[in-house]
Amino acid sequence: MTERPLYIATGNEETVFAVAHRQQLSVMLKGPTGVGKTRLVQAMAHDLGRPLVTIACHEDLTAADLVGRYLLKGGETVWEDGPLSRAVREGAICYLDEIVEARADTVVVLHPLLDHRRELIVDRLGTTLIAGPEFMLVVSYNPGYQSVLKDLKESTRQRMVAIELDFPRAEVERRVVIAEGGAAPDLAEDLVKLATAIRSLEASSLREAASTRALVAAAKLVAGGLSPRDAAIAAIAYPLSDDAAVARGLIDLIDTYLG
Amino acid sequence: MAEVAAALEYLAGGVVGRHVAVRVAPGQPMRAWSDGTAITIDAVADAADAVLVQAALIRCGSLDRRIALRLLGRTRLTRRYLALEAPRTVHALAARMPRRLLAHPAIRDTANPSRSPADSMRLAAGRGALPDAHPLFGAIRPAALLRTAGGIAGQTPQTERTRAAEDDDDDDDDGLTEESQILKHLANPLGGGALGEWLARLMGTGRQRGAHSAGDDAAGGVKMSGATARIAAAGISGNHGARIAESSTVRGAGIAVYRYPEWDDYHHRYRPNWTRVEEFVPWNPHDRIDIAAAIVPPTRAMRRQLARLGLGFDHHRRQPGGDEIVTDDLIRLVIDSRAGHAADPRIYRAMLKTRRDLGVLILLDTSSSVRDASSDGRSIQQQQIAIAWQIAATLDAAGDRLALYGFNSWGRDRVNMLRVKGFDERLGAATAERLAYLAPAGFTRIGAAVRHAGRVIRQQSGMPYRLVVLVTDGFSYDDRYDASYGEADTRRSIAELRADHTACLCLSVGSDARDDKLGRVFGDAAFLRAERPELLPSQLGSLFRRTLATLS
Repeated sequence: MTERPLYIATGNEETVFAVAHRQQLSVMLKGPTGVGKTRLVQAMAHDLGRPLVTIACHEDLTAADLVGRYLLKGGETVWEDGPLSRAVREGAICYLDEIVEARADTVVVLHPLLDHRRELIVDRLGTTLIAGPEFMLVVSYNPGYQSVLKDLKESTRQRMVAIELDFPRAEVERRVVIAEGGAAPDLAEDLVKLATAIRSLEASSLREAASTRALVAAAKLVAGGLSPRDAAIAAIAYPLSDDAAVARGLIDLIDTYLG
Repeated sequence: MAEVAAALEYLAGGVVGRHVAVRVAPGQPMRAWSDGTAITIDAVADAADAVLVQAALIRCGSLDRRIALRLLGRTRLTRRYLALEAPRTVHALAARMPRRLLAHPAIRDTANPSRSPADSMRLAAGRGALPDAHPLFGAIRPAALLRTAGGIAGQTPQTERTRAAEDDDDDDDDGLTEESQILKHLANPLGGGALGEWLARLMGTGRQRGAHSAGDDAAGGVKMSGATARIAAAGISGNHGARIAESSTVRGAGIAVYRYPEWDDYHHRYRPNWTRVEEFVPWNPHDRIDIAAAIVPPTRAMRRQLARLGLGFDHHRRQPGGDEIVTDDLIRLVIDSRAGHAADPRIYRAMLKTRRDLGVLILLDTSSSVRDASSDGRSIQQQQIAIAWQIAATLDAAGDRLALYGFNSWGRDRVNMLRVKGFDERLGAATAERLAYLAPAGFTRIGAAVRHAGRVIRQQSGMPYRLVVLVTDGFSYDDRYDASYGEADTRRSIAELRADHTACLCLSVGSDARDDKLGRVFGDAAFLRAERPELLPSQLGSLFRRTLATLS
């Protein structure tokens, strides 16, 4: 039995997830990047004792990439399952990360799996796979980041139960930074204050606020020997913005909170 | 210098939760202070802690109007109040305060029984001994706080000290003391003379009666005691419903200030660096306008008109026909055929019109003239906001890049651009909230606003097709910017936009401007006038298309 991936619940997300799994419903995880969506899925897969199949979605993802295709092997055509078919057969938890990146005509393949039918139509094989009770489909979705053109269709959204994740509360975030990043308590507190200040800015020039992941990266850099200031600049200021004036402002914020 | 003050704005913004300007005042050293929307410091070195304290005061409501009224003219009470509130608010916001500030002796060692601004006020007014306010706490200026409330959002009023150097109207300075100058200027921002008087009556301030009779007298002003003058000055902005608050003359390092030329039609040449434009984020919660009726989802008519406007070409795979064959899809086709399946023949890549390539900036007239009622009972402003919102929501839903600004002016040195929505922000409740903060005030120096809009759309939209939509009654009016001069400069600024590959059109709602006048200024094909905004959609589509066609 491997160790549970670290995830500290901030609300009732673990409960909702577990109940949805038991009731054979699919789940959409919403929230900004770096807030813990993937980590939550990993922790729940561990708790529920199911294997986890992860698919990173992108614009060129096709239905065949998900379901499977014929390959030419030595003059013979051989069927190979895609990750989605594998997950259905094994009763795994299938996690589609950043689903909005995939094209709408690819996502539509999921509809029979997402609703009460829970079946995957493999027309190349002429069969239909029926998902067992343990199978679960989870998708992640970052609403603030996408343009309105690349949005999830209503018909897809309606088939899922949604969990909204936001940046964790200060105490929880501190614990995560200490546990994941190996930070001393004082450093963790200063990093969380810095992140809170950045997230409060009316950030039209900052695409995505400082995430928990960035704080953990900064802590790891400090554990590796960098000064807190250098670590924060590398992990938070420079990744967040390419504008020299904004970077300058963030560096001064870092000086104030970590100096 | 400019960059460092911007960094302090991040510090303040992170504590207050919205954008707060930080201004550096030149001259002798002074304690940091705030007017509720901006923080003023004397030098940038070691200012971080002072800015944090001022930001904490703003965030916790310690500088609200009611408090300022009680503190006005009472120096000792103000100092005692500050000595209590500054450490209290820093402690209350400890989760946002850096360790170093929390460890400062003036903050750390204060045993503070007060729990709220009201508590602190009560204790300060009492007889107990209190420690002095540490210089780190800065200062509170009640007069400044009162002048911003009800004024143009985001501005700070004139500070007595720095005003004199900047004044345009030199002839009004003779023989007047500082205090009465303020009164006179507040009563008559366009200077003395018949025109100024007429306008002052139009604006509703007129001549001031009563204790502060200095407003009557253009020359030979009456000297008042400092406190009385300040009280009188603070009182003016509340009279007659006309808001006359003035912009800051503190030379801002690190504020977004721009200078633009103006076209002088009489002499047929440009006046370089003639206008001064400043960008603000509107913040005026005490004087919100009622726009609930205007913030509604786009009508179907509007969507039909505008939805297909900004489409450009983009590559698409899986097309039944096209210019190129995609190798991956071709391989799949071959394999599927071999396996005995009906294969998907869509193996081509084609260029289709699906990419959005239109950037639009909507410029809303926010001057006092839009306060007037129009034919259906709403104010012109409410009508303008209704149509602006319809267009904005439609274009945003279609995926076009969109920005929304309000504008007004007080002479050529104070042209305000109020950023309701930047290109990178999403249209939503926050946008609607900022629209509600656009209480009408000031005048209409359209040329400067159009030039600034051109810069913003060129630098920030990122789109090859650009359109500025001006929602105004078409009358440009401001100090020394009237009739043919203003019209010529407005026309010129639009021509400059076109030369920069940006189209411009004007939507005029509820105004009585005549079509020939609008045509002269904006071009015959580039304006639309309607009595009511509901009548606009049917012609909007063709208007937009015609205007955009001028770009190709």
